[in-house]
Amino acid sequence: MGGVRRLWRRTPLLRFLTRRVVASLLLGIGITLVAFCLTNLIPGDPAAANLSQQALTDPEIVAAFREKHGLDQPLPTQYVRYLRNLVSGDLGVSLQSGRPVLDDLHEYATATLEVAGAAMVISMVFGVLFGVVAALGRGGPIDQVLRVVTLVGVSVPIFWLALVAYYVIFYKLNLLPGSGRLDPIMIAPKQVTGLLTVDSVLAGDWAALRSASAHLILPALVLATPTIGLLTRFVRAAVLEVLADDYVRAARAKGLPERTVIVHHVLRAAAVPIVTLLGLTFSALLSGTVLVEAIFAWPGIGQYAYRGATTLDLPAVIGVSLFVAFVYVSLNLFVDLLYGVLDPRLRLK
Amino acid sequence: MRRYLWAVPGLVCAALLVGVLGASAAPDQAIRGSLVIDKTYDVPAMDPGRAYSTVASLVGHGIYETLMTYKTRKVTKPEMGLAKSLVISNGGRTFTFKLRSGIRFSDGTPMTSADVVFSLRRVKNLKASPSFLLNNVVSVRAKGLSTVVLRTNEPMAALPAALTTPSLGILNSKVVKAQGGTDAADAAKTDKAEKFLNKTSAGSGPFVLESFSTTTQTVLRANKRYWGGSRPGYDRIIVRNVQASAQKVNVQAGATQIALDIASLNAAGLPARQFNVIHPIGLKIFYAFANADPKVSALTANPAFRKAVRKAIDYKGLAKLAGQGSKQTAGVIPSGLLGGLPASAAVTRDLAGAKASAQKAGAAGESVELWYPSDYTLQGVEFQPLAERLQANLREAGISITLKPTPTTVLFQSYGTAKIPLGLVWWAPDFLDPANYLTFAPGEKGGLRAGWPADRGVTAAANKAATAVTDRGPLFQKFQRELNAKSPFFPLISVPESIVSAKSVHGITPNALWVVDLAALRP
Repeated sequence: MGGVRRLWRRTPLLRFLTRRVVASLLLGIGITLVAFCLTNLIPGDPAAANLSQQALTDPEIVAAFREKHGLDQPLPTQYVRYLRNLVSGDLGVSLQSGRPVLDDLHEYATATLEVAGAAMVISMVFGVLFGVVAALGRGGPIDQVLRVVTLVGVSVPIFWLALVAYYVIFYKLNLLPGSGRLDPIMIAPKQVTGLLTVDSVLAGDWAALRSASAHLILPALVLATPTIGLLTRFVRAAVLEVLADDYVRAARAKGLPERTVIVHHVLRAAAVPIVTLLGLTFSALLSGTVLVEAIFAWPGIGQYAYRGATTLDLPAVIGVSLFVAFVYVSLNLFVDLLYGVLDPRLRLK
Repeated sequence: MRRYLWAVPGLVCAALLVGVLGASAAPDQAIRGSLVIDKTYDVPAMDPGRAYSTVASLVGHGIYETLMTYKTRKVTKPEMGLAKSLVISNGGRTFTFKLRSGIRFSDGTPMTSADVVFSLRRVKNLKASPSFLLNNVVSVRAKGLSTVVLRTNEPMAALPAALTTPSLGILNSKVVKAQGGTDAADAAKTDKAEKFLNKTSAGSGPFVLESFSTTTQTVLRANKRYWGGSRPGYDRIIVRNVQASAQKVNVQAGATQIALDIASLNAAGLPARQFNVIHPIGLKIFYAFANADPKVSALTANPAFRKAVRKAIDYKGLAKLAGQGSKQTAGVIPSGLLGGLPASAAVTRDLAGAKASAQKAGAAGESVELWYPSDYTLQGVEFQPLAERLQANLREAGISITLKPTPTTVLFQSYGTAKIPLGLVWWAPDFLDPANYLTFAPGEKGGLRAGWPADRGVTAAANKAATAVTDRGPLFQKFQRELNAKSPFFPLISVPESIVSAKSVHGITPNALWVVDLAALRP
């Protein structure tokens, strides 16, 4: 016991992690409660949303539906039962798919993770690149062009951009495929990770890899566009702030090559606020893919959540809420830990 | 490592380029023996006993065969399917089906009456969405290996039409039982075959299920052992879940060969030399209602108000607004179905009469809320413009209405408790028989939702139509004439699906229930 106490006192990281995990658990319970209450506040009936009009006229069918999904129980009982099942990792059965929500999440969340991950990589690369270039050429023609481009990127509604991209790049130019994750006539590689590009590589199915990559580009680019705009503006400001610091001037005075100054001194110092933004952006990408998924027929969590909401599929709605919350919390924790890596001064604090 | 950091943007660009170069132009699936169909999904399961939706019917009709069916686009009378004969006796309460000989399931097992009994009992006892189809069936019994007898608790002339529904498709009972399926009375709790039937199939139809996803696509493969003779024209059919907004572009780009959710208005713009646009008989109707319960609204409950609304509506204008293939429906039963009223019986606009009736009802100075779905379209037709047109029509007659767009789940909650004063909603038949429309009778579910508990004349007409075994058409017509004269319902327009296909696809046989017969499609 004393050993544990000593470890607790001497290991700030353990204290920090424990506090965060406990806070996350409380947050998770809070989310289930809020989602549960809000979904039940809507004056709608899940039976009416999921059964046909004629089936609704048969009390036996309606009763069987309610019993099957536990809707015949009082609300507090339903909630307590949900929490009890949650402890054992059971998120319930989706009303819309008839499958365990956990299975649904595994399928749909990986699809969303794939497109959001690709969008994140594209955003990071181009956002940071454009931001640095804009900052270095401050006030110049490139800065002005990037300013307009990023402003457009941030301002354009994503559904409109998706529709235009779909029409121009898929239909008019026939450069990239439009709908789905894979050519429909192809047989998907054996599911290992759920990420089709990765599974194609694992299966050595290069035709599937080509098709999966091609299907990924358009939705990822559309999803990345506003994030690139946002990141560019943010990186530009962060780099400009650091560029004026004495140690950068000193590095240049030492005769270090400009590339070294930018990568090792400027970007490293500007990294903390950028990483903060990246963490928030990725979470937003995950939860904000509904429209893009709908237009590109991407079977992700956004479509699942939308259908869950419109059919009053409570287990699905809570499942998605918990998943998004988990991603937010995990990413923020990861970002917090990353601060220490990027800036040793924070470690000391 | 860090010196290579600058190469990252280059690598990402290269990856994007490889992806672009790797993306071949849309492959010609037709040549490769596959056909791609785009459809917005509404399918939670592939188990026929549980699935009850348009996509489930579209796919299920190709996999599972039914005792009765429709072989052409005409749906006024069901034809023999797996049954070779049907004898109706005992005043319409006993139905004796003789099965065709030589029917085999996709695994080669011969089909017998035991499979039929198991399948129908299972649907009834699962207490899932399609169970209502067999509500009045009190027993399903085998008589020998090739005869099945169904008994109902009251005359049910609609039963043969109900038996065309793909949800009542016949399963291979041995296979399904081996996977935990049961037809026992407690099947709702004890049947475990859903998971199996969502992965594979156990039917006798021209296709078998290769894969199924509730969100991406469902793949059918031609049944190599199909007992029915000619094999399907396509080896594989892929039904993809694609939003309606993307389907037109997909079919134009050649990425899909058939699109099933393009609204008539949009389909009209497609060049006829490249695409076929076919409309099945439109059985889904838009209708309005004025609540007959004075506690909900004294104004809408006034018969003079109903008369004013009926006369004030510009039905032809509404049909034009809804697009090609839409037309005014003379009664609640569309004209393509048995008992549909002829166009000559349709209500015509009479603005002067509407103004007089509105004045008599005391409509001036009072505004009524018109509820309609804000998040749903019927065959791509939005409710909002129709509601606005109704508002304009009624305003001309001196009736003021306020628009109240409402999410469907909320709307139906209020509609179910008869709390809506004035509504614009829709009705889609569950199977192709006029009995589906008896719900509009007073005291029935539909009637009660509009606050209409009783009307002796209309009820009598409805009862006669419901129990008749022969000459049903004229009786349903009489029922509708009574409805048009007295009911709080205003049948507006019927809207058909639009089947848009590339010219390379032949043999499209539309059907109001399963949209298109997949087995009849040919390259």
